[in-house]
Amino acid sequence: MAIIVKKPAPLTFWERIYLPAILKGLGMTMRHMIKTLAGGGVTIRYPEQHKRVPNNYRALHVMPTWEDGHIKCVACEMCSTVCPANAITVHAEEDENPEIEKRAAFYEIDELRCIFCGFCEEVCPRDAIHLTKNYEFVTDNREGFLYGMDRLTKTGRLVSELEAKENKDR
Amino acid sequence: MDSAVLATVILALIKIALILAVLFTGVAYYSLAERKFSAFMQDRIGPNRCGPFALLQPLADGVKFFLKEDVIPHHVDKVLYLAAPAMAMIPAMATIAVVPFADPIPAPASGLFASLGQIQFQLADINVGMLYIFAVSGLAVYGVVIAGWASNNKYALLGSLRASAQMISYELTLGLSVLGVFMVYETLQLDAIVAAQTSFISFLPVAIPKWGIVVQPLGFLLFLIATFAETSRLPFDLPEGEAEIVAGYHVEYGSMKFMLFMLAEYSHMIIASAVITCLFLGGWNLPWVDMSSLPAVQRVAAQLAVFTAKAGFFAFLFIWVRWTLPRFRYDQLMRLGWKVLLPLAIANLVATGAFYVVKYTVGIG
Repeated sequence: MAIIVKKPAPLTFWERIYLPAILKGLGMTMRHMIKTLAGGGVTIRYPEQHKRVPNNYRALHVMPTWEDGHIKCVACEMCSTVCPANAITVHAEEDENPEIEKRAAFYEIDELRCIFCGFCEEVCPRDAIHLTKNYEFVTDNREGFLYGMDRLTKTGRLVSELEAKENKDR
Repeated sequence: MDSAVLATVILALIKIALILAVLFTGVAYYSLAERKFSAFMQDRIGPNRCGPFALLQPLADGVKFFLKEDVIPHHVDKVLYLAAPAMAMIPAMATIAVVPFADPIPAPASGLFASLGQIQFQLADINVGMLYIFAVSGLAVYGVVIAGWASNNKYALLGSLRASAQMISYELTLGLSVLGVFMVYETLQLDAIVAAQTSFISFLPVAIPKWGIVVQPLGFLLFLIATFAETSRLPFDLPEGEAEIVAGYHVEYGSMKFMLFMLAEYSHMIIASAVITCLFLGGWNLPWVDMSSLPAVQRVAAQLAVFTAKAGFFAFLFIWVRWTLPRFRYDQLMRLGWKVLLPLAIANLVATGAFYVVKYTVGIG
């Protein structure tokens, strides 16, 4: 089987002296430069600007409370059972309110173990745990990533801050 | 000491201090401009953390270089290893001595400098001018070769060999391409060349300024290309090649010694921009604009601004081309230098010479 090799046409004079092609290339880089200078480019200047994340973005958890401040969680331990990363620890105790029966005495999420799959949110029968859009919760020690109930009930406030930032930037 | 001699020496020292201060500041901000413009051309933002518009970035870079550990590898030739960065830096700084920046101003009527008559905006007005630049910038190749040799490292040696072969090849074109300019203006002095460019080409219906770029377009192009190769900028940055020879001749250098090589490269580009402006773009003069009637200070300010703008354009061109073109392969570089640019430079020289023979024998133009 014969393979027909198509040779490219020989370069014309203007192609061989490079200069038109160089000028064309210079034009292209200049166009990009002007575009970037005029439109500010495509970069999101992160610490000052924030990317708008989708509403189903999964980051730091929050444990919502009722209007009276009582935590919604009933310590059924569904979340810690379903958690594929074993990030959730729950210890139950009896609640004074006979209608609630159980509440969490100790509830802790290790955000370093968490894989942010959202199963805990899905499985919760009382809508008592959510994943927020707040992805900015770095600290410089491992203990700082152990979120107990005291902190988890307050992270909802951070979400509204994040949304305010997004709206300001865009 | 004779007061005239004293005045000359003091004036020269002041000029050296000023020129070097401007040159180093220029180099610092040139590196910032390189980073910013390259970012813009690639749809990026570039450095923006240090001060407004990253204007403190060069300062931060400098401090970083100063604070780095000054490592001398045990396998190098210590004396030459330490001398090489200086040998790269000194020619780069020395060439600026003959570059004029503006017309001379009359000296103050009284005081120390009165005996001088006028103050030139040029460190040394020597009549070999451009020849001096070629002579001194030809020494720059020693810094590169010695850096590669003293490093006792095969990549550094290969890099320095490539760099020196490239510099020597393109120096020929550099020298030959500018001979046409000397024929046209009949001088080697840069300030005289600039002065000659204020006239107009007379025999055409439209008055065209007698700039080097107009009378020697091919010479300008060849000079520009050879300058890119001499300063080892893209598309001729063969001395550096991460894939083949690591960083080239300065692979063993760090901290301030590396910074000197970078300073040398960037000051080469700034001085090359200034020289091209003087030779081909009419220096500090604008056609149809007569600045000589202005008061001395305003005139000098205007001329310095014009000069800076023209040289700044070429400085920007270095960046612009770098972020546009890919590099040549080494054999392509040599073929371009020896088989294309050098014959063209000789042809340009012969054509210019023939034109003047015809002009003077027949008497046209």
